[in-house]
Amino acid sequence: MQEVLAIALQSMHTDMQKLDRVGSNLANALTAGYQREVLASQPIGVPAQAFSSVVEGMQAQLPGTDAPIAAARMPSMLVQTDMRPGTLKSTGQSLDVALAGPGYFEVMTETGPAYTRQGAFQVDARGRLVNAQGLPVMGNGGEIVLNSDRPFIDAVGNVFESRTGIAENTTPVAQIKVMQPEDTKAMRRLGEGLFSPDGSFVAMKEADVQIRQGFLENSNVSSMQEMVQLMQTMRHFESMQKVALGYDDMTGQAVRKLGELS
Amino acid sequence: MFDALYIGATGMQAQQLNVDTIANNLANVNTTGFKKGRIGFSDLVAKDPTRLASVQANAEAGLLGPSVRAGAGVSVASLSKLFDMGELKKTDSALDVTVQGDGFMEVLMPDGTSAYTRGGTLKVNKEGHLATQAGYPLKPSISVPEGAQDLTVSADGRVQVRVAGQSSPTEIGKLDLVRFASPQGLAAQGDNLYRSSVASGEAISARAGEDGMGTFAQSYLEGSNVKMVEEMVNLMVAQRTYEANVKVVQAADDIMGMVNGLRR
Repeated sequence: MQEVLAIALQSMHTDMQKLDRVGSNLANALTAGYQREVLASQPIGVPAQAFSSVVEGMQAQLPGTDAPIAAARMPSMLVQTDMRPGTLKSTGQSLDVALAGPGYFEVMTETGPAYTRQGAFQVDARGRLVNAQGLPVMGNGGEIVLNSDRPFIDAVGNVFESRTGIAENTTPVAQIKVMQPEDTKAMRRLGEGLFSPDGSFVAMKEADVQIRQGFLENSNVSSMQEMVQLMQTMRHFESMQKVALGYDDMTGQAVRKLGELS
Repeated sequence: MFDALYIGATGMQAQQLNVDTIANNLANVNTTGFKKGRIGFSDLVAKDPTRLASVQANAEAGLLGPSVRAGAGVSVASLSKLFDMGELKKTDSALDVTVQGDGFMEVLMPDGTSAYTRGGTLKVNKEGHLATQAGYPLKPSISVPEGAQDLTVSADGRVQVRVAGQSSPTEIGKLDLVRFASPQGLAAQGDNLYRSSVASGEAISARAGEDGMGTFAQSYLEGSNVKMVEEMVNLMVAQRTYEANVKVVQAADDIMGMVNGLRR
């Protein structure tokens, strides 16, 4: 493959992936607790002359040797999660809980724990505190069982049994578990607002936990930012298309002109 | 391979449902006893068990290998009713009975099952039982004797009438309250009636005024709990988000046009 075409193809491919991320972020602009995805390109670590073979996925080899070029790797795109907390939106519902600072709630799925910032909880038919998908929310002592749907939850996650929204007892029935990843890069999205436990989660210090009852966290997507990104991506794609077209023109002309026997 | 088009479509679909919910809330801003609906979203991920491995393989397979797939759009996580108290409005009718606080009244449906209501304008049906406007009797049934006057409902649910010719009122029955482990899980039936579901759990009988339960309020109706301003703001946000998703779909379409334009 021609070098110029290979580079243009690679750029256009990256742009399309970027557009997917922008689309995903904008689709989730109103999803509570959503953390936006950012696509980070990695520098291309290949000598210029081997670029096309890298794009084609062949083992690039230095001429005259059997040794493949060590750095001949396709620059893989890194999808990262923007961890900044979103703003809070008041809903007035007792079972809407938001994390004003960092951290994640732990829920139990069929395959083990998962982590989420979506705090639109409910009480299920058995009285357990569950998230919107019906997965039980974990407290420090396991599942949280309530006898009313109007508990009082304080800033560090202590849950007090109550029928009216005002704490009646001074002893909490449970404490909501708030965890923090040690390795944010290893976290993987599972969908439905959940993250896999790959980030080696540890319990957060109680002093750092900031739970707000009666609030939901807005997604941290800024539509302005996404729109600018969208425009940028589109125009970049367009210019790369022009490069490919221009190169095609040039080659075509070269073939015609050089083929003319005067 | 090119997901942005479909991702944008999921966003548009979700916002459309959001606008539907808001429209229903706004249409019922003056409906007695109406409880507003709320929609919750969650993100979607392309379920691909070999995803991690394929990302690694991508390094060798070049451009033609599988691409990194993370998010795939948005879906609706929940569509539930919020049982906040509406404002109580004083009426002059003795048959306007509503629950002040938590709790539901049980209603016997024609097919023998139970439905639940927060109260409203009652009437005496042709069998002489106390019933909802639609004619479904309350459970336990309370029969009102002919010629009864001055029906009163006390805060704890005792129903008394004064029969012509008697000076003191007689008690003809008692209204009961039930509660649910998770009222949000109730299935709305229209007509201000709800049915229990797997999510809500079975009805638990309770006594009015005890253990945090509500009390009965006679000559009151519960207004809708829809807040006009809140819905209007939500409507604007939903419309703008819809618009943003349209732009993504347009951009995806433009890009595909440009791809086709590569070959002149």
